[in-house]
Amino acid sequence: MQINRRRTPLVLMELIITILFFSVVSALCTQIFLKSYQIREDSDQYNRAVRACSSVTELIICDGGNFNTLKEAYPEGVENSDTFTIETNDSECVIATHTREGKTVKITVSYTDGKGNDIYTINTSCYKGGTEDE
Amino acid sequence: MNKQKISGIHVGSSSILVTFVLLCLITFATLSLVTVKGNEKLGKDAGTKIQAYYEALGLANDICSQCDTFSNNIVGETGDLDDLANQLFNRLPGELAQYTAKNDIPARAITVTEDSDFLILSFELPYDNFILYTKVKIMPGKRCTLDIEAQYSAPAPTGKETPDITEDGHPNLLF
Repeated sequence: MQINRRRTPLVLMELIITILFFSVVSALCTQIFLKSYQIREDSDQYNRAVRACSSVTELIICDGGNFNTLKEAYPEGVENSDTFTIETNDSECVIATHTREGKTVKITVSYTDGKGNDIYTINTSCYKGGTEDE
Repeated sequence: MNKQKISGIHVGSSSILVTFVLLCLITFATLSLVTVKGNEKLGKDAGTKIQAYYEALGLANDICSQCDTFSNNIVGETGDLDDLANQLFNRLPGELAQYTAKNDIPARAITVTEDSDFLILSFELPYDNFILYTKVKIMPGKRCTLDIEAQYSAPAPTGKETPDITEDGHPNLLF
């Protein structure tokens, strides 16, 4: 009984220190997990933007700089003179713009998040009259 | 007879348990961060390369359009294909340089091949890790056509790569 009584404060002290140490390290680890989660979310959004922009750009290039194929592929999109806007489920937008300059069409496709921040943009040109028959 | 049975928590057992749990926690947190960072870098790299590809494609299209206008003007002046070929040889490198200088991309290996009724202007647009081989078919009185092929190259060796075979001649399984 004497031994137990002498050891009890020691065990309690150890428990306190252990719990303290555990709290500090687990708080740090939680921060790291949260940061990882945030990076993954941003990375996912960026990858979505890359995929969407390259798909839309290809559709416009295949159509010689026009929006006809794009309209067929995305009937929910809204065309407004030189701009075609496709809104996704997460209130993110793909905005395609074409401007005719002589025989080329300048194409800009950008992906914006719900707050209107630009996430990814592709700039390219398309030569009108790519086929011999035209 | 006086031996007592010690029960309850032993000194040090909680420390061992917590140390093990914390080690696991730190390892998993680090692993998740490293994985996510790697994926992020991969995604960003792919995004940058796609942007560079479309930029090069746009440039090739611009040059094709320029060739079209240029060849129509020359044919309008002389109407002779040989003359067109000669003038393209003389003038187009300058025209291309003008286009590529604004993007700080040197177009290289510009060649003009002459056939019976058309010319083929070939040039290369090198970017970070790919070369866009571009051929513009120029036919007097018709629109030019564009033929593009992108060839990706492996990144330049950094000297830190793990060799495929170890010094003992065994396959290196560390990667």
